[in-house]
Amino acid sequence: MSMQVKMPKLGMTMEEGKLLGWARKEKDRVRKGEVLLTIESDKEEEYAKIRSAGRTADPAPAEPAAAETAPGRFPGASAPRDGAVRATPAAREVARQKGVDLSTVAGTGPQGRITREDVLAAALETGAPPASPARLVATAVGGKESFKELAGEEPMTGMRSAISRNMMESLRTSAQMTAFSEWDVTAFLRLRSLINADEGKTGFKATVPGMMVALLAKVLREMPVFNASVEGGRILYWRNVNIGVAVALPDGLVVPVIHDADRKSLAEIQEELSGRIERARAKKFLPGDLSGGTFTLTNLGSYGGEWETIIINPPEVAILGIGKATRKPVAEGDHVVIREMMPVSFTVDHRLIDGETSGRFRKRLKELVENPGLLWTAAVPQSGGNIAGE
Amino acid sequence: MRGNGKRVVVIGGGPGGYPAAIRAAQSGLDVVLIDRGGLGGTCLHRGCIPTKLLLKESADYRKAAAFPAAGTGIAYPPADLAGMMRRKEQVLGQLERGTAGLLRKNGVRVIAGTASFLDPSRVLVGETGEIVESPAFIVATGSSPSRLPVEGSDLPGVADSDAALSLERVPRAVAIIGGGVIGLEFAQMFRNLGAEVTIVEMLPRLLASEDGDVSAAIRGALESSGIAVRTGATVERIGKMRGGLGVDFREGGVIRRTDAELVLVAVGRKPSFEGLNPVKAGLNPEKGAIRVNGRMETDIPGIYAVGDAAGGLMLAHKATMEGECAAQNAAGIPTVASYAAIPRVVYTDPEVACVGLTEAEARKRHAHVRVGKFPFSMSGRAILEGAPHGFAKVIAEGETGCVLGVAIVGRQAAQAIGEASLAVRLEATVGDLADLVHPHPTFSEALREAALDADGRAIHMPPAPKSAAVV
Ligand SMILES: Cc1cc2nc3c(=O)[nH]c(=O)nc-3n(C[C@H](O)[C@H](O)[C@H](O)COP(=O)(O)OP(=O)(O)OC[C@H]3O[C@@H](n4cnc5c(N)ncnc54)[C@H](O)[C@@H]3O)c2cc1C
Repeated sequence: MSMQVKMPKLGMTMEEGKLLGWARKEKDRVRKGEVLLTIESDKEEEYAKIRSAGRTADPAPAEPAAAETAPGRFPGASAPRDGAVRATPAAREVARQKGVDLSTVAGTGPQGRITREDVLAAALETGAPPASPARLVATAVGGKESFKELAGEEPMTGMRSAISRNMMESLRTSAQMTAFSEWDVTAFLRLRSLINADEGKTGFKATVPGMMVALLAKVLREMPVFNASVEGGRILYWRNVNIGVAVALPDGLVVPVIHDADRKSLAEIQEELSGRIERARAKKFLPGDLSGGTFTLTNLGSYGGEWETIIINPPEVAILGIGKATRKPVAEGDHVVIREMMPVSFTVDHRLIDGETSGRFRKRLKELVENPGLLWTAAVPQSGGNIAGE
Repeated sequence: MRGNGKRVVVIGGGPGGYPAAIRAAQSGLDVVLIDRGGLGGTCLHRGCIPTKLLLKESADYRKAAAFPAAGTGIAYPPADLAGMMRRKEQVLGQLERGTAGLLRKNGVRVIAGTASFLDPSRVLVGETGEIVESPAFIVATGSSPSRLPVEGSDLPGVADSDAALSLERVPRAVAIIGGGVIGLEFAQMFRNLGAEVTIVEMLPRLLASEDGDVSAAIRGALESSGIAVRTGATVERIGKMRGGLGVDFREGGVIRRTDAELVLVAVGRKPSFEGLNPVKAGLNPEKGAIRVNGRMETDIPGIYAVGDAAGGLMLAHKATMEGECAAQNAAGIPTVASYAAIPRVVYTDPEVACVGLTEAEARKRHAHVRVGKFPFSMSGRAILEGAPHGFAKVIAEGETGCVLGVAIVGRQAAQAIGEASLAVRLEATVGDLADLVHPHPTFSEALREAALDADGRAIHMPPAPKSAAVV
């Protein structure tokens, strides 16, 4: 049977130990308490004692792992005295059964005690002791702490854990399919410059996300299936077109929502958007700032991102990600011209939306982005819209 | 704003809120507590304390009333419920003043009034018009009784637990709708006072979330005291009858009726945000409760929710644990709530006290489960006290013997469960419990015997037959 022997820690301050020599030969039978090897610490010379009976196996001193033991560091090593390790009785029992060295396990239980779960996790991570060829490794077992050192730790909380929950929920409950494309935004950006040149008179500035919200709102009215949710086996179509715009904060992400974007002018959308983003950054939300979204837009370009497999903000069924526009050579007829090209990622919930439908949405939105003048003609609601009853 | 960011406002002064306020103050925060219904919350005014007090007083009455029957031939006077209620008011007053004193000595500013969110960083106190601003809030607004959606549930004589705690006279007959914790405690209290009591429960057994043997043991004990128990019985309507009310329920396809002077609806409680305006803070209580993570944080940064308002087990000690957890996080001490060992107690006689997993849950989660059980009918202490009802049961993981759960039905189970909670929390093994020396004669010895049984070495129980004869 193979056995792992951990370098004992000789006193609280010992950081490294040197292997001076083996007292036993390969395949020797040893008893608890017998001298197995001699090590030297920065303080004194000591013997590592066998803590349980067993047979030593191929010492294989030429192996790098064993060679390392001489001057190596042992961050995982701690006091060998059993009483010094705080572990629950059940954890000790599991450790005995699974052959896990408790001093290599970090405790998450009451007052930092090592729990059953901690030992089970450690056992999984280390795997069962190797069957053969056996090797005597005089280093800290438990793998993880031998090779990487913990620099700090904190519970996942607040916004991070809300995001984590939401995103896992999203991937767990929907069938996500992402399409990537590249759109020519030369005209779109020219329109933005025109609007902004007029700021003196109109009093507002247009941004790419703001203009995109305005265009999206029209297309969402045309194709209500993208302005829907799947809940409990039913498809819910929303009367309001409430577009969320993902905003990165230092510790996470929030999604302020522009309600009824389809009924607002670009100026109104821009004003609301900047107000909400400002409040989000200051973490001073107003009621409704973050709730009621039916579709999400995320601006990957804000940190230079291009295409990403963006994740739907549940219970919505689609999300659009726009990347950073760059000048690129593209073919126009037989000529190569320079155009502003924008990478676009579009994720849909395949439970509700098929590839073809997703393609139609992208085609329509692309048409509007590349020819923003079409905005004048867009948006005839198909059904279920709030104009239908009027 | 005072205290530049080192501030927290606690909304609600129940067992979730007031310990949170004290813990936050101990941690160096500037604390304001806003409460509109009297410090101590539901627990002190309409829950844990008054029900336990009335259970105790009514049990004393029953004992006293039993003496004449035992030989003197003198009839005992009827129970003085009004007197018990006066004593209740005294006790509540004393405890409430104690709570107020604790808060004051910890430097917590208490505002009496209803807090409503204006936005995620401000609340308005309705009664005073004061606007309180803070970077952090702990919502501990508690819960209120659920209503029964059947015809007649608004008739006079139909009461929820709040109303039943201020009766002046013992009703002749009481129908209790709901066989959960609150229903059982009230059933026993009214029975002790001499009322005829019927429990009507929709589910197939009482205390349906506990194991079947627990349900059966408490049912047996209640029935032997004269309480009628109808399970699998759905209430269809409540109607006026000559001399009181009639409760019609469907049981196995047949409609039956029980008559009562008082109908107590004890069908559960739901989180309550009355007046709070959580939506203005960006909180959207789903399914009634505010969603929180392990640090009691809601989706809105800086806002925490604890106790009944955050859902889960509706128990005072669970609310307190969560309140202290939220307070520490608000003070910048990262803390995660721990739900592994929260005892669940019903204060009837015999008491029902459970902690950790039920046997059914344990069998679902673990491949190998060991169960040890010891009946109180074999306990010296139980026999000498004339309280042989119930058992202690230890549920352990098969391989390691790690104690996963304990259920005790029996007198003083609530006290004995403390030891079991420690065992579950610290992952003691059945061996640890069995090797612990217990004082003799006590009820707690039953727990040791159950642990011994799970380890296959019970002393005070005959060994199981080695092999069953196969014919
Ligand atoms: C009949 C009965 C018996 C019970 N027995 C037990 C028992 O034996 N053991 C046990 O553990 N549990 C028992 N419970 C449950 C226990 O009472 C609750 O779980 C516990 O009180 C919850 O504490 P909390 O702080 O969350 O809420 P609560 O105790 O309900 O306190 C909430 C407080 O907030 C105040 N409030 C609400 N809204 C506002 C607002 N907008 N502004 C200001 N203040 C506000 C309320 O007035 C109240 O004072 C019992 C409950 C009932 C009904």
